[in-house]
Amino acid sequence: MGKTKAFFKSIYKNVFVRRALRSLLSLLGLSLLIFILARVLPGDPIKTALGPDIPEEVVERYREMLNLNKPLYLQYFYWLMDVFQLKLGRSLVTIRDVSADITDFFPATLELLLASAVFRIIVAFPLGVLSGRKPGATMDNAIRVLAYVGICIPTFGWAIILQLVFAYWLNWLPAIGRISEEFMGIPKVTGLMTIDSLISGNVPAFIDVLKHLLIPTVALSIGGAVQEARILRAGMIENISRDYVLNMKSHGIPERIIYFKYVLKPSIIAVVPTMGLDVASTVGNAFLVESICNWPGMSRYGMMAMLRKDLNAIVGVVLVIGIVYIVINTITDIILYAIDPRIRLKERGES
Amino acid sequence: MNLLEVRNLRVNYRSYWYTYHVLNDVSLQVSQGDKVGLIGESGSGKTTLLKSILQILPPQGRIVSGEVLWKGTDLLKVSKDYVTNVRRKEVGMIFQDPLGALNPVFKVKEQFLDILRHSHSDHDKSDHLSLAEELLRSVMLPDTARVLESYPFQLSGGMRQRVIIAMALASARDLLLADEPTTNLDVTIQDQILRLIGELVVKRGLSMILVSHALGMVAKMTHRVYVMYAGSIVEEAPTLKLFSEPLHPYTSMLIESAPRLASTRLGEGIKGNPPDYRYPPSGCRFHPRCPYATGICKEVRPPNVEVSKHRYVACHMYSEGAGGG
Repeated sequence: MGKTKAFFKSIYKNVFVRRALRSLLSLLGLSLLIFILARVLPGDPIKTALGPDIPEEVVERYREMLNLNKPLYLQYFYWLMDVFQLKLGRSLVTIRDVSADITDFFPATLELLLASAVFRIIVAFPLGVLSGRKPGATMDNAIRVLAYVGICIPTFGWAIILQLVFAYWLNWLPAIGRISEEFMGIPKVTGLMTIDSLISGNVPAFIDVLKHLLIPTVALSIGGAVQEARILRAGMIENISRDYVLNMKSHGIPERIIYFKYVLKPSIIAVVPTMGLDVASTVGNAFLVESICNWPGMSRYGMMAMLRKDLNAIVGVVLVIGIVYIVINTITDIILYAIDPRIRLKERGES
Repeated sequence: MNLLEVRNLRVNYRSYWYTYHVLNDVSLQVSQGDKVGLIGESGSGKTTLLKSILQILPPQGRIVSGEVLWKGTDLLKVSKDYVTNVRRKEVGMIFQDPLGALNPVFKVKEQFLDILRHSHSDHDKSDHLSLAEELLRSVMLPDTARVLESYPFQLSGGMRQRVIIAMALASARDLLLADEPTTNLDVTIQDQILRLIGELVVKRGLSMILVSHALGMVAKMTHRVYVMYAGSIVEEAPTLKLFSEPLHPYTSMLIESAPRLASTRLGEGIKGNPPDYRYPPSGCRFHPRCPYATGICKEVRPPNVEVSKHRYVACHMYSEGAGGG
């Protein structure tokens, strides 16, 4: 018990405290950049949002409300003040606070993101381990082909193919949406429908949600997953010829213990950072897949914001993506910290 | 009967394009209690020979022909389980690089216990820890608790090599293969480690094959020495004889080139490079670098000639009727 507590304490000290300031600064920089970029784009945002026939005094009122007639640095300052109250400014399109909009749309994207992370782990690890065991064998070659196909087809391409095959032809899975109509009534707790349906104890609804999740999740992560499998395979093959493996062999330790224990762990450590980055980048890729699968996530909102020059919404969405990156990177660091003693003990200064 | 007898061993490495003909008809004997040295330039196949004995060559390596007789049984012909049992309980090996030979992300304890679980499978599980501690104490690592709870990178090079030696001792009940055990260590520790190995081998009644560039230590620690050049044994002699009057031209050059503390002169080294194993020289593999080479050396592989008792040399200068030189 004491050991676990000490571990979390050291994670807190070494990962969170170090990261907090750096992350805050990156977010600040990101927001400043996007804030300025959104505002220097040509075209009047209010006229773009509300249409060209709007009377001049209405436009003026909106300008007043959004502080658009103030100098840029003041605009940013006001926006920052809003952020400290956990608001992201008013959207020109929905006329609501952007933070409220994002709270509505983000859970669906988050759910997709989490499902894609789980899918990657389920697919990448076994494939990598299997193909590394006997390089050049049939299994390895099959996985190699799969990897090339996986990488060559972009995420939206996968979405269309999967919809065609599994929804249209085979009719096994729903092509679009997040949940079937008959289950719409499940109470909203977390916004993640898989969890909400489980909380309400509605198993058929849970299965329905999973079915809806499958196509967008696979489309989003299959390419990355097979690529990660290849990285893991390369790591396993590299590590298998190391001296420590020879040492273990010279002691007559069974091959499966050497492979699945002594070779696997260092190889996994090597693939974790790539996986973290890949999972984080799915937020960006999710836009297209969400559109194709009619997934009610942040994408439609973000797309609309960009097309209509909805200033605050653009900044808000980009900021959320930035936060997702930072959170996932932090999680990656925690995982590495937990499984790689070289990182853990060096940071504690014990080596 | 010899404890270990390697007969006419040939080992190749294959890459995508080439075959590297490394071990070229190597024969070697170790009898009970024998301490044998194996010397030669880097890349002459010493490590390959040791790995072939335990059949732990990398995937590209292949034993083409020959025999590895262990207590009279050819290890190349018996079942995998038999070989595994030899690896677990009879032969131990010390590796060159003490950092590389320990897994960086597992505690010493974890690795050591896995080894003992197999080398001492007849012991109770609860005995393994005390066994590990005992072995660590025998290699002069008295703070056993700290060592066992450490990851390899938390130990110094000398400590890591001691851990490797302790591990090797767990499996070596008959024979210890020491593959340049001090090459990657600080000079100050090299002698300590070699001396430790020497003492342990005597104390435990082990036989040993010692591969080392420290010719002085080889001279002190072994009874007999094999000299290897380009995958062939070129000379075999009782240690003292070999160093006092080397017969093969390569041996004399090797001994000449070793730096001596007493001398301010650096060794001259041997002119030329070790051969390309893809296209090894015909006849005697040493002939391109040998100052005494004659026509026959290019064409005929010199036979192993017994010059005097226990002295063998593979050189045409000593072959009957060849009268080279």
